[in-house]
Amino acid sequence: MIGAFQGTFPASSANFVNIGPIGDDLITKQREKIASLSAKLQQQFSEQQQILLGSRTPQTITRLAPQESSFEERLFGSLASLKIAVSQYAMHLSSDERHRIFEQLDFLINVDDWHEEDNLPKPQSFMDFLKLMIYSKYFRWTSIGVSHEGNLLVAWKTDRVLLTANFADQDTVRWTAQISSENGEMGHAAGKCSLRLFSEQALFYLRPGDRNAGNKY
Amino acid sequence: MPVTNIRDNHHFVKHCKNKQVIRENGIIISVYPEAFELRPPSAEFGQEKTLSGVYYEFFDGDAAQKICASCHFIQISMKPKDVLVRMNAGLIKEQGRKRSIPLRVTHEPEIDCLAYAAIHGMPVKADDELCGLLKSLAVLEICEVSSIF
Repeated sequence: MIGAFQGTFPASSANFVNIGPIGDDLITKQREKIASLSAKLQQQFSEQQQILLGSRTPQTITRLAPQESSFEERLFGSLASLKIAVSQYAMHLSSDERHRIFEQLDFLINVDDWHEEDNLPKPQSFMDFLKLMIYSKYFRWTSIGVSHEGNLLVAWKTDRVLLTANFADQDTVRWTAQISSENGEMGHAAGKCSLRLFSEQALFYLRPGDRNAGNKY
Repeated sequence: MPVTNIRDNHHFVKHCKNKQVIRENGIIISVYPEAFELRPPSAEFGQEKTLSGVYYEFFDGDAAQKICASCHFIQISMKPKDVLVRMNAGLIKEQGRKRSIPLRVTHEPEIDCLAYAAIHGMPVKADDELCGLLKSLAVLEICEVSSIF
């Protein structure tokens, strides 16, 4: 997590590198949190473990021992990695869209609401969702969730359709659609396909008759 | 203690985590189909074999009191934004029949949870269509935990 920032973070004044596209999106509290966590990690690595060898001339060897991070740190690391992923696609996403994603991630992944034993969201799965938005130019998602395995779940709702997607491993999307007719009849469908094909499938349900038009949201 | 089938017009209450709730502008509109998948094995737990919950009609009182009691009897630590979903037993079985997957909804009282109930027959390898049908057609009510107390 920290390596991605490639910077030094003294507790009082944090410097950031390579986060330009999302720099403005990070609120002061988040910047301070990154700085304090980074300082803590640096301290952990500098306090090297010492092992005394029983040879004729006493020697000391040192090694870096990975230390288990706390629940809060893991949660924060996961959240930060997802937000950094957004930065990689920042040129394709409006500032409003980035903030909407960040708000939803903050709502979902926080100490108060996340169950400690649960798998954290997989960054690749989240990036597949971002790619989908860019492929399809359809940004009107309704809700974001996470599966047991850590796959990103996304729902889109229109007047007649509730579409859900599970961004599973290896560029695969598992989806379900609930379609209502004008007279209240309800139909259901489910499928599994590649990300690229799903970008077409999704528009079939979400924007029938307008599959090639750009999204103005 | 004896295991009995829950009658078709009675209800099964299941806990769902916040991460599997669909909200539109903050308002709960549904849950993801994945909420009805069996949990895969983890370091702490083995493969889940049944969907666990409680038997709604086991409790006395009005609807609010029954949901409140359900919340107390489900033996999972709940977070305020988690939800309880109330599902009709007959509709649960009907969705299974549509997919040729026989489902049973049973009341299985345990010493530490007399209201314990389970849905048997859910496939280990998730059936997306079945889960989608359960989400759309068998769920009658969704209550956020924070609103129950």
